[in-house]
Amino acid sequence: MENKKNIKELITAYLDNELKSQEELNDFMREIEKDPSFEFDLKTEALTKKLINKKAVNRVTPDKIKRNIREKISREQIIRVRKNPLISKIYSPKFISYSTVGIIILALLLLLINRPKQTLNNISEQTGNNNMLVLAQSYFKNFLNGDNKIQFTSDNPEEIKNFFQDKGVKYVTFVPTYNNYSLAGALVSEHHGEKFAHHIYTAKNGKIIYIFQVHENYFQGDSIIQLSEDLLNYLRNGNKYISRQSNFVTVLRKQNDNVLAFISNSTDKELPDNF
Amino acid sequence: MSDEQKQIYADFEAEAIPHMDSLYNFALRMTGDTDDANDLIQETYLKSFRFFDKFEKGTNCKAWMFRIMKNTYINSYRKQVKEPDKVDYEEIENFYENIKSSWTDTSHLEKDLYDNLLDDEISEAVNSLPEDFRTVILLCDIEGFSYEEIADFVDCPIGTVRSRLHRARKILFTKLYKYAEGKGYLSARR
Repeated sequence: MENKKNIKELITAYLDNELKSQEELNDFMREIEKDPSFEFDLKTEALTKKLINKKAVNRVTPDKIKRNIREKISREQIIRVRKNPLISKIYSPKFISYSTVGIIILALLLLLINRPKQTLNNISEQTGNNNMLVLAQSYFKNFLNGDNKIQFTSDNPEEIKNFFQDKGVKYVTFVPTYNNYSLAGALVSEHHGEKFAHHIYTAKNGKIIYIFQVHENYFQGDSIIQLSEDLLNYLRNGNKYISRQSNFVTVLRKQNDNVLAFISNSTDKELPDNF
Repeated sequence: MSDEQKQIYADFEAEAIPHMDSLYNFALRMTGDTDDANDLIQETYLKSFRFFDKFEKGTNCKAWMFRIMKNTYINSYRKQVKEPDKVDYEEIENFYENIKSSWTDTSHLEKDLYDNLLDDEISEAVNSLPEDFRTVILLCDIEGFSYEEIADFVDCPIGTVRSRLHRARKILFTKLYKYAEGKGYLSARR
């Protein structure tokens, strides 16, 4: 009985081309010829294998998924390059010897250990056309003037995230919800060839919250968007940077890998605490 | 982008992208849900790309990616799937022996089943197998992996793979036979 079971399993191996040696094959053939009842087992198992192989439905990956995969990979590629612009060169032995790398690391460590403690008061002024704070406030003003318009209307955070992805934003976005404010929609801006995510909330009293978010890697290497290093460190330590103008307030903070700029024309003094 | 990074990207494009449909179908059959399969394959590709520098050139990239998909599936998706009912293999054996004794000419049986069973009916039967059996069937009969590769994938000896495949095919055959009989696909010529 046990032998019969073994032979039946050898049928499986035979059909899968897994009887590797001629000796194994010859032994198997001899057993099969001895007992004609194995013919049924051989034929039904071969048929089952053929049915699965030839007739089980195989689907083609949907185009949207193929596109998403390629986008995610190229995004990952960009993040890698931005994250390690120096490292990728250092890895090449042509450039710098190991000892030089060691010195650089040591210098960076010393800089890190001896850096002054950062507080909100001594953060340098944010200036320049590529500065995120400057850009965020400019986008906000343009939105209020009607120069920047909502490109996609939805009150669903997931749909907004998908919109960002479909429009070429190469980072994972954060779309929260707020009491008394409804999600109105989103827009994507282009800056030096890269796409950036913006979305807007409105309240019944006409006040708005505008969020502009940028992946942290955009601040590294040959940065397209900038923030002063002291401010970036301040945010990386989990702090919020609040800047009040006469008619609006701007809050910068980090959320996962993104730096978010929240801007609102609300007079609610507590609103920044909710960002 | 450095030359090295460009090369990694080009290698990934050449080695990994061609297996997308195979991985997608495997994801669909393992999760049993289109949305989960969509997420699973995207996650698999992203992880594969992240760790592509660990992939040993010249080895089987498809098998390597299937292993990444399996681990991702186990970690994040398996718990969401309702496992099909367990199979009483002794009952299957008895039923199979009855079929065996009632057919003297298997050529009609082969033709009746092959010609009449629809593609969707076969897919459904495969999908209804318990996970251990379904996995080996998919890897062997659809993806064409060797026993050694399957053993590596399911983390068990080659003998277990062979035994599992044998049982899985018998379960499938009896399932399809019962189904065909119920639908009146089988002729009286035995």
